Amino acid sequence: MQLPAAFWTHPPELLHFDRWGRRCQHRTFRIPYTSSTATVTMASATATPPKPSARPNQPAPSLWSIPAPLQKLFNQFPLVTLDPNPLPARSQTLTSASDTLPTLYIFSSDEDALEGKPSINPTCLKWQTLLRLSHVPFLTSPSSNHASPTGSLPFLLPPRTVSPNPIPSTSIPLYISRHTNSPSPLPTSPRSEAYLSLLTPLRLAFLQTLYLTPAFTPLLKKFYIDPSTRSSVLGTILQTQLSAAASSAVLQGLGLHSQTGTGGIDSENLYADAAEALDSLAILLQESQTGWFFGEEKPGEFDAGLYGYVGVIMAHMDTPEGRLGGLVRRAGGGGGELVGWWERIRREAWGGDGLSEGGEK
Amino acid sequence: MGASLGSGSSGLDEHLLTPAAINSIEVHGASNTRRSILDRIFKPLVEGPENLSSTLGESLERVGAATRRLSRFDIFKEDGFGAFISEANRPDAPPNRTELDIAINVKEKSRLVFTAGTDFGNAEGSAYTNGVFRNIFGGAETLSINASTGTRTRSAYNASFSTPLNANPDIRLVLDALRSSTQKPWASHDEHLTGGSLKLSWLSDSKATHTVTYNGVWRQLTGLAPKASPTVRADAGDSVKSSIGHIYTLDRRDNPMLPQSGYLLKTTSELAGWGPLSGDVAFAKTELETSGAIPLSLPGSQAKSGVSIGGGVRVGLLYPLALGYNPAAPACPSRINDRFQLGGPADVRGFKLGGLGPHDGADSVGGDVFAAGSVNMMFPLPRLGADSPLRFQLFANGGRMVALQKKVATGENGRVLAMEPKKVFEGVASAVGQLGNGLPSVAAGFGLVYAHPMARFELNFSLPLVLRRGEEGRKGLQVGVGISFL
Repeated sequence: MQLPAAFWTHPPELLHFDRWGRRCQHRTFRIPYTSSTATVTMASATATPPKPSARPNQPAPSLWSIPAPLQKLFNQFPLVTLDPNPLPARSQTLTSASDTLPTLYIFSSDEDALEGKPSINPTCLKWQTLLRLSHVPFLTSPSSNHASPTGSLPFLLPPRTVSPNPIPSTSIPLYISRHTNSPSPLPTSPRSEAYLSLLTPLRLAFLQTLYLTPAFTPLLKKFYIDPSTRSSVLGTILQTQLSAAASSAVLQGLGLHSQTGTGGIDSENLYADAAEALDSLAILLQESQTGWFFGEEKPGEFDAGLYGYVGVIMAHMDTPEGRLGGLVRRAGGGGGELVGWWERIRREAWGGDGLSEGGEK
Repeated sequence: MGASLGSGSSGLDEHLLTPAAINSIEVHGASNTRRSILDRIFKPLVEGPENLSSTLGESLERVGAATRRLSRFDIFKEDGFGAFISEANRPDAPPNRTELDIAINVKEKSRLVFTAGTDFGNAEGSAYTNGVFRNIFGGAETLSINASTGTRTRSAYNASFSTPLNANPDIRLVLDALRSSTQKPWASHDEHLTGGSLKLSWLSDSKATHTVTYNGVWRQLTGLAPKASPTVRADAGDSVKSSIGHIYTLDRRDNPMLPQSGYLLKTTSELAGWGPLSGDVAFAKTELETSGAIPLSLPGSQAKSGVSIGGGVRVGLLYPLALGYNPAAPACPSRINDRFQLGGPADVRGFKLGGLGPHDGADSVGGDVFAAGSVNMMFPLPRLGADSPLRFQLFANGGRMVALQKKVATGENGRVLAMEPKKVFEGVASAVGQLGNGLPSVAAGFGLVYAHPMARFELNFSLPLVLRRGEEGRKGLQVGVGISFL
């Protein structure tokens, strides 16, 4: 028996892949001759609303519709239906608790997510904090942007029994108002829109610190690379991608062309702008009598959004190299407005030490 | 005195038993082939000790064997071989022995081949381009570069460099690089692969092939469908698999696309993430596939009837291991891209792709242990007869695939992923036990089989007989295209 020469150049698995561009074993033709579901879905998608009684009147003698005797035969099968197969261990462990509770998918380590600790990503921390402030019970799961329907974290997945459709972060306020008793749990002052732009300089300085300052590379690795992979090769690739994305985001934020390169970023300017924004935020707080932004009775979405940054900065970047920590402390002329506010939110949303308590309710 | 080797002239036959030694061998036409590779094959014929004590017949047989060996490098045209023999006029030749000069003509295959084309199948169209650079360095090395795109395989790029070792066409070293993006609609995601592998393949004395592989691949599970299940969402993202593997294939079938007699035995073993392999996943995975066919003859007829009975069995097991060197450390259970998938038209017919085993909603999430089997009976079609590549088939096939379960003790946090080695063992043992508990999921039907030399096509009508809730059977027609069927 002489083997075809191609066999040697490509062991069997790759031969399929090579010749056909995909694995031949998995090729199927799907002929829509096997079920009437296709027609039914189409009818319900086009006609509004589909009346069940109307369907028999539609003759629809499509080429692919199933003759009645065949349909009768099909309905006899399968002859025996047994209990379903249980899910694999990894799936059970990571998702079975989500049978009853919604899960917020965030950037986090396995251990931190298990305990419901604050995310290390400002956007994730914002929505995590808002959900906690609203006392909506939820779980957290460590994840990556690949899992998200929008391409970026976070998102909320309702309990398996309720709906398979993920809720993007922008719809979380709606989710909260539907799942809490208080009629208006989320104060959204019309003024907050105007002040949202104050978060932009803070964001740029945050990106500069975490992604583009070599002193923070270990933190970047701990936050975003280690939870994804243990491989140093892939880790380096992912880190390069992250830094490139961050520098282009900073350049874009500064209104510069992305081809300028990181050399075009003046970090002194970035920090000065951030300091100015933090000062304005501190003054805004001073004006409020309630301790929350815009004089609201409870912390709202704006508070949560700022806490996303300040929470991560104070927990991880309040070091000599991390200039943002100092900027938060000194904001508003050193009155400690922002630090006091940060501690209030931490207490309100995260309990005493602001880290571990009440992770899972 | 010149005679063509293949002509079998009667004058030559009479002399086959006379002593004859090979004095020289010349190879003509191998202008792009290294001398060393030809030396490896032909030098032993001239310099070997048995040369001086051979008959003409034995000498010619050795030349024939060497030529066949040369053809296995796949760098010469099959029909370009020719050998010419003449008597050497050596003054010092012993009188009782003929001394032969042998000239072998070869035609080298084209060194550069480009092909492009389109494929249809699997409810998708695809286009590919393929470039093969043959005999690049004159030592039968091949570089093959392939790019293809389709609706399911969004894109695939593959470069493969292959070289024989020690100028032996039966031992090959292959270096592969791969980048691809494939849709996995049965589990609501796309998988991007970027990686490479180093393979050593050889043919054993029993004509079985062995392949030993190191494989390093970055897998990215991404592009989730809006309704992707929590199981798939939990596994989305990056992981690196670093593994060594072994594939053993013993193919004794008369025709791999339409076996009428003989058997196939194939085992695939893989060890990932253990010890120095590292990476993100660690497991031992093994799969065994065997199939065979027996021809049936019609009573009272010696002729080939074309009727045969065949069957096949496939079993597989995935055992999670701890990453690194400590075997007592806890191990993480398998991810969706490492688990087995079962079901489909080239697999357990009568089920959708990945139709068997655990499902989370509509997603087939795979299993850690499976067993599947099939029996079929083939009949030639009237008027076309036994020699035609068309057959009518009756089949029944079934399988059972289960996933490793984790038993959570009271007081233990059920959301901790890692499992103690003892728990892993108990879980795998229990999963294996479940294979035999209850009926397997079964489908049966009939259809047409067409065996093209490149691939086998099947058009079947089948109905599922036994099913587990969540599993996806396929009632009615199903088309399968592939090169290996259960």
